[in-house]
Amino acid sequence: MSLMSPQASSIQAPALGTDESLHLLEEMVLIRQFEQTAYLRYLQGEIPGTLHQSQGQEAVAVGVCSLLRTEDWITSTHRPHGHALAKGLDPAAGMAEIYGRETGCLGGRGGSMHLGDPALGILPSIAIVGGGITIAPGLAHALKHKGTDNVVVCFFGDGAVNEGAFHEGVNYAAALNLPVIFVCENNMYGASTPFHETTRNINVASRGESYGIPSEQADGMDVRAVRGAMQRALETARSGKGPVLLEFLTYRYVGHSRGDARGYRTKEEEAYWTAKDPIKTFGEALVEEGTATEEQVKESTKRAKKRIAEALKHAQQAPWPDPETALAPNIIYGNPPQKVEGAGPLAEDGEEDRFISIAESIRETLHRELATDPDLVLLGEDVGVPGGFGGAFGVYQGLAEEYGRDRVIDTPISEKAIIGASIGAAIGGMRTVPDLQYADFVFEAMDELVNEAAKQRYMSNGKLTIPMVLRCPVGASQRGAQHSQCPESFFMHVPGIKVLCISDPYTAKGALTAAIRDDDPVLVFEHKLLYGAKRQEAGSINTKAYVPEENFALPVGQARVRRRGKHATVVATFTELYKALELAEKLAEEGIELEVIDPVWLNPFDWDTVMESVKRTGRLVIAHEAHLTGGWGAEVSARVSDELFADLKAPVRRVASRDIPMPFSPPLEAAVLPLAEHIEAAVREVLSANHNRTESE
Amino acid sequence: MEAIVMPALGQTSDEAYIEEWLAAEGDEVEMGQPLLSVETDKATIEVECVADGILHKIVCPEGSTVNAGSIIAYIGEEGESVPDA
Repeated sequence: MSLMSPQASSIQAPALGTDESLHLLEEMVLIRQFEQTAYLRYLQGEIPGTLHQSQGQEAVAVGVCSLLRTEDWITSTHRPHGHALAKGLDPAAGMAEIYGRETGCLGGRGGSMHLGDPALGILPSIAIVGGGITIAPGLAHALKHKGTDNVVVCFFGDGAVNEGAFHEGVNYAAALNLPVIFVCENNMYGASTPFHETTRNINVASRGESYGIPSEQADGMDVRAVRGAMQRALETARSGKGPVLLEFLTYRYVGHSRGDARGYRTKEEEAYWTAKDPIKTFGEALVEEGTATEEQVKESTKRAKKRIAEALKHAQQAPWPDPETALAPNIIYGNPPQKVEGAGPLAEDGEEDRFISIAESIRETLHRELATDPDLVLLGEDVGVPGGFGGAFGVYQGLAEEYGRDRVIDTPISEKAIIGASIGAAIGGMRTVPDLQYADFVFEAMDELVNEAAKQRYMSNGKLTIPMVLRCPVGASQRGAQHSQCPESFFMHVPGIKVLCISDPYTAKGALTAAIRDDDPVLVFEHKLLYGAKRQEAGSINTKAYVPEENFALPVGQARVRRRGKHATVVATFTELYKALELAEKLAEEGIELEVIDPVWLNPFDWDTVMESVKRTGRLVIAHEAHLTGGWGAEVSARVSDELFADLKAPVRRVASRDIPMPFSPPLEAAVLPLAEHIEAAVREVLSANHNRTESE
Repeated sequence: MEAIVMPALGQTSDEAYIEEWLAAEGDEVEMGQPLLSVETDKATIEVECVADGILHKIVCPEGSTVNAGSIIAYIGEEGESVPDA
């Protein structure tokens, strides 16, 4: 598809009458005055943090947003004030937010860089360069899924087009034909670096051709030119023809942020762009063309300034938020952690044909949830193609045939886009289950997971929920360093994300069902050697267990005591859990009773169940395949040592993979992995110690 | 009545030398107009007025060196009086 030029298209923005023209002018002045006021007040020491401002770029924000509905979404950047105001944000709520006050649009949890209001279709803005470009396709997916013709406008700067997120997000939206209008505000600088020094192709619009989508470049200093291009883009996006890329040439009159004295720009360049001031030139044009009188232009300007003066007064007088509310669990999580009671050992009887593998249990779970929740979709690589893989490890076999390929969606191999779009769709009201084939690939999407999935709810002051379940197969199985990792511990460190580790088929169904119905992002880690796939991997373990046919939800955050005992506690996941259970059998013959606990959830963690057990046994060994240093066992060890210092009869021991990348060759791999004999040695060691704190004191 | 403070304008120092006041006591001033020129470690800069109103009092005269955050003037409405120091 070739570039669309304004002349080539028959679609033009409708001619503007007096009222509408004056309204656009007023909106632009509103933004300019908001920014100038904030700037001067910042210098007076009234506003905390920093500011990224948009004086000079007002025509883009107003031209684009003036053609949007409240139900359309926008995503913005670290420079969001103009976009939010143009999309309808009350200036008083916006000013109070950047003042950090309780009455701010996000209660002071967002601030200048995360301005937004979901009720107005303004996602709390994303201050990671290019970050919104992978989220926007997901929001658009949800709008399309609901059968509307609403669209998403994704704002970003020239700097963002050199991010991988730009490629993945634009291509994803194009491949899935999603209604996203990508709007590049090309102000010629990424902070202080000239755009032309960072790329050989400074024509951003020309990049649309690479993705087979229409694109257009227009004068971003002329609000009518912006509206013209936007009108044509909307025509495409609202009529089901997919995404459009718009590039607006613009200029920010101020520095990148508050400390920037703009020494990298010439006076001549600044003067050239000052002459193109979008407010001054538009006001003059209206008078010159006879659309409005000079008096009317002055009145519009005055009205806007008055609104900002009132907004300022409101912000200055607004109360600070109550510090205690920073910790409110319902702002961090849609479903805050609840007190739970640990589950007991798995049932040993049941109908014989209901003894199934973890892979079968997960497939059944997804099958039934897809049947009952029409807003649930599965997304990933190779999940639904007829005659294809049926997902890594075949878990999705047959689901696309049953529910259609718009519910079991094959995506490009674009981890950032898969996760970003899953987050966006979840925010938009769907439930998403993305799949990354191997947990190792999760690092491709760390920004989306850690900066967006984990934080959008909190930044939105609890207004958004992100019901997404990301499935990640883990574990060494003779595939070398990049297809073996157990990265679950990383995510235990991130508030806002729930972490589930599946080690048996019964819990698989109950916990995965709960995860899918939960309103928060859940990362589910599943071990390749426990799936029970038909093709037996070396080292695979038969985990078949009784699983009811109907889906059922177990409490989120519930640990399972797999075996009860009184002499020592072993907390373990995945293959180490089975090694521990085997060891317990062996030690039972010696009269030693091990208690074996599968924590199931790393966040929320069932501290009560673990603490109660260790308090009784006085001895704890933690076993996991994740690397030793900084692994989740370190956190458990620290907490138990801290809280149960007086009850411990021996130091807490950890058994884990050595701190070495996983080698390929089986004997080398075995030398890095925790083995059954290591767990046994650790258990015997804690059993032999008998430190009695009260006697020794 | 609003107390106007010296903004932090320098790169390495919080001190600023007031070269000239560009408005006199009693003048009507408005937000954004140059109010005074100051010399910092970096450059000579015009400080913009932060509010609309009457420049009731200049606290720090020309030729004085002032730390960022110190009150340099009072701006208020017609008839308001400057608070006692």
